[in-house]
Amino acid sequence: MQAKILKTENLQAWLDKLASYGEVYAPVKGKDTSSFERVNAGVMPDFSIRTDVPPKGLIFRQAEKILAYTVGEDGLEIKRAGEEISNRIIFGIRPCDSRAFDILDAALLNPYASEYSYSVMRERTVLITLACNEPGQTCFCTTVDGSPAGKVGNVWIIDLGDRYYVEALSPSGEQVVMLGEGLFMDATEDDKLLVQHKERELFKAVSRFPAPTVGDLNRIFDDEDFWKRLADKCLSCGMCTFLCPTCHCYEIKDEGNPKSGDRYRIWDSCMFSNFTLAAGGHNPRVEHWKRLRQRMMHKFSYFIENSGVIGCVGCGRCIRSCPVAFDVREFLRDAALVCTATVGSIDGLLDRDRTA
Amino acid sequence: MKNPYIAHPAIITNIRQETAETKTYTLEFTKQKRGLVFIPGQFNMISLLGFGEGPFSITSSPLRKEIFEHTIRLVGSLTGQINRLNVGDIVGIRGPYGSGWPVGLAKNKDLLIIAGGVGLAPLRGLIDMAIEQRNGFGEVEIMYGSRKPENLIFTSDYDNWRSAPNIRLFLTVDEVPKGIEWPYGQGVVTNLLKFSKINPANALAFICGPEIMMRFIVRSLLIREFAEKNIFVSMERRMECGMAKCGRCMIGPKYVCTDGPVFSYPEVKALPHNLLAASL
Amino acid sequence: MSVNLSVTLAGIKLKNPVMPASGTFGAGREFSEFFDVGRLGAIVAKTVTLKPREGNMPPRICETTSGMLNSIGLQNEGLEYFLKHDLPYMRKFKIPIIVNIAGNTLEEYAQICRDLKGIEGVSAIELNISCPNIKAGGIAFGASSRLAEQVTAAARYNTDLPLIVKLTPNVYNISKIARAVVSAGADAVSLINTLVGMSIDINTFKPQLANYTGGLSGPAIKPVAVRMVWEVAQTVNVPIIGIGGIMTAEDAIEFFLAGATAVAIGTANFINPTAMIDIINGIERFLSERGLTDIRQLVGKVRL
Repeated sequence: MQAKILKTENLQAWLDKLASYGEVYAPVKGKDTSSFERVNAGVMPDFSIRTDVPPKGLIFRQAEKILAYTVGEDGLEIKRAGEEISNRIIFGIRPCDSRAFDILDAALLNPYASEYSYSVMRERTVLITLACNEPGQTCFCTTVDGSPAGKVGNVWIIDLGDRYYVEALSPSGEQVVMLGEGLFMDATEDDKLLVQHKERELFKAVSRFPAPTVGDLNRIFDDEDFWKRLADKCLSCGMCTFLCPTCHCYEIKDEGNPKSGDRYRIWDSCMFSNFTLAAGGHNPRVEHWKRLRQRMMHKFSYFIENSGVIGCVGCGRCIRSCPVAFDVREFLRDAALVCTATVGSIDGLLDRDRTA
Repeated sequence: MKNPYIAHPAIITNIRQETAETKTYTLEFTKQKRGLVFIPGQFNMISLLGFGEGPFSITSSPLRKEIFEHTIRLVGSLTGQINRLNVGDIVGIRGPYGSGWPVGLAKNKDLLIIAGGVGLAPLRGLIDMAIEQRNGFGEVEIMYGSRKPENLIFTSDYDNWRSAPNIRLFLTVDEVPKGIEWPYGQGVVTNLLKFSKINPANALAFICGPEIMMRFIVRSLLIREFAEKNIFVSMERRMECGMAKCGRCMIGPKYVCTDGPVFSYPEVKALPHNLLAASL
Repeated sequence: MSVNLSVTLAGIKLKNPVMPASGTFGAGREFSEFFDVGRLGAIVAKTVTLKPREGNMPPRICETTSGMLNSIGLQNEGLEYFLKHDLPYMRKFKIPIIVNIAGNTLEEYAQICRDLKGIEGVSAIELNISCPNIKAGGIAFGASSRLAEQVTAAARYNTDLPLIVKLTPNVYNISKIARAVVSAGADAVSLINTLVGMSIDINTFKPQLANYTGGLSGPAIKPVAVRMVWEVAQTVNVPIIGIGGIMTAEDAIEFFLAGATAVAIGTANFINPTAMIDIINGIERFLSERGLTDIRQLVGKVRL
């Protein structure tokens, strides 16, 4: 499908058309925090909001019923939890949050067993990604293979001032663009050149810094002092994991009694002290620096080893929300420097192959 | 798409008391008259609906088609509930998960099986299999130890194991209570290795037990010129999903629930934690 | 063309596969008047127990058709005497010494093994498990696979020496016993011990033995022994010492073919003091007459 142009004054009309297709979610400022909430037709969301809470929970729900059970005359009956999932649109999701779902796919739809409910939601949800014209202070997406103008999701739009450039990236994206038939014009060559220019500018707007490779991190793994210093002020409160768009650790809990009830998948955090506590008392990560190390290694090393992509999108929420101002960018810079100190030179650090 | 969390109902048809806190449960699926297709070393997630789920090794031989068994020790709240179950009770089963002992590699090789405490559980299926298919394997040496004689599991199986040709079974405990007759060894399991007569060049070693025990055993095996690639261990971590998603069981980039629980020693060495470092 | 008679048994190198059966040779003192005891493959001493034993009341032996019954009752001076007097004497022959031991409890077997640690000249321990087990109400250790396994274990964990277990034929399934002792760590098995028998004097109406029954040995038991050696050889990988009615080299050859790596000569010693030397020479002759160069070419070679 050809790239389109939508005049800014026509945005509301398109939004209203989308509301007839399914539930529309957009950035909304609440009393204390901003998040993606359902918006009704006729409402114009404020797309300049970079939400405190990522839209992760709309697809990978915080508490998801995974089965229901009853013990009846015939014994134990186990039923999968079924509910009708309606079509949804997340409008104005930023490239970082949008790309985060690709990362969640790698984790949750892995070859061993696909996360059923997540995959159904994912199929039924259309992501309309809005490029960041003004990246934030704590953004570092370009360091982790992203960009404020990253083309991810099902539809990509960028604000050109008086108009939006709209590009469908998938069949479902095309479908929702066609819903706005009549509101769009084809993009001109000048439009496309302008967009390309903006893409380049925006990429440069988020400064990159050298990040450690998998090999680097493996090398400093055993440097206890490094990790202890890093984790010195960390409280293990787990805020970072809850607000991180790619974190997906969970636990399984039953609600009910032996006769009937439900089984849920509930978000958990690797930062909590009893995350790895086994029956019998053995806890391999009882020290909090070990848990911080695990989180960093998982995002920046193990995830690459297992799935080929970095497990972080550089949204910076962890930096903004951490009560003791732990800054993951400092960690990445320190880790890379520690390794260059041992490896040699800083030249070409920016373009090193991640997996080296 | 299948919901991977669905647990299949299975009924307990027999319970054998192994020690004061450990029982072996024999199970059959209720919906289909069949057992489980698995490799020794793999585990199931056993559900007590309404209570919780936990990972447990499958302890029967895969050659037993109609049933499968689990040997469960009482250590916490879920196992406490399981300990109260009776014959006829129903639990939920999903699995099998994880990697098993490399039975294919073991064909016609001698097997050196070393276990401590309840670590013998994931090896029992392999032992029973080697005994039933006696011609498929070479000599089998089993070295097993526990804290006291009363903590040894599968004692009612020993005579059966001993009556098969060319099986050697060596036992040791840390302490022998007064008044108990104990003609076997006393001390750590590592001490039993001196009885081994097999040729490491044509043998595989399978080890399961507390990590510190495994570390010393690996060290001794390497000194005896066992090749690293012929040594296999079973690691244990808290597991919840069994499918490499919930993140709990990771050791470095590996998931104990899918890359393990059985790992070759070179795989363990590649993990960042130096877990079984057997520096010589 | 020279013939090799040397064999390795449980790690011990024997220059030939012939030795006396325990209890028929003492410590070799009596026989050294007749031949050079150093020519034997090994010397197997009379059973030693922890404490001295007087043995049973006489009469303790009697002749039967093609054999003899004995109910000596393990008379011996005890371990301390053995270590002080018999062992130093046997060391002079400079051949491997197999010490045969017995006990009434598992702990006695364990203790003797511990006491033999580091004693110079002891090459191996042979367990006599035909003794009654006091704790098990008098059942012989060798009568059940469970007890046989336990007594082997009691010795195994208390000695690093090669361990030979001497099996009794008075069981339903000797192969099962053999597997059980191998599972406990026996390095070799020797079989058979004597068969329980009885002889009644029809003139006095009384049993010939004061003990009523005794152990039957001699040519009468040879077919039973050969059969049991053959059966056990099918089911265990450890070396077997064949015992039971061997009078001549031809008798010995039968045992090799059935699967024995070495043989022990018992009753024959009472009839012909140089029987073992004759047998060694006879085996050599048998091999060279057939163009064979090594005794190991016979072991287990019975054609089925």
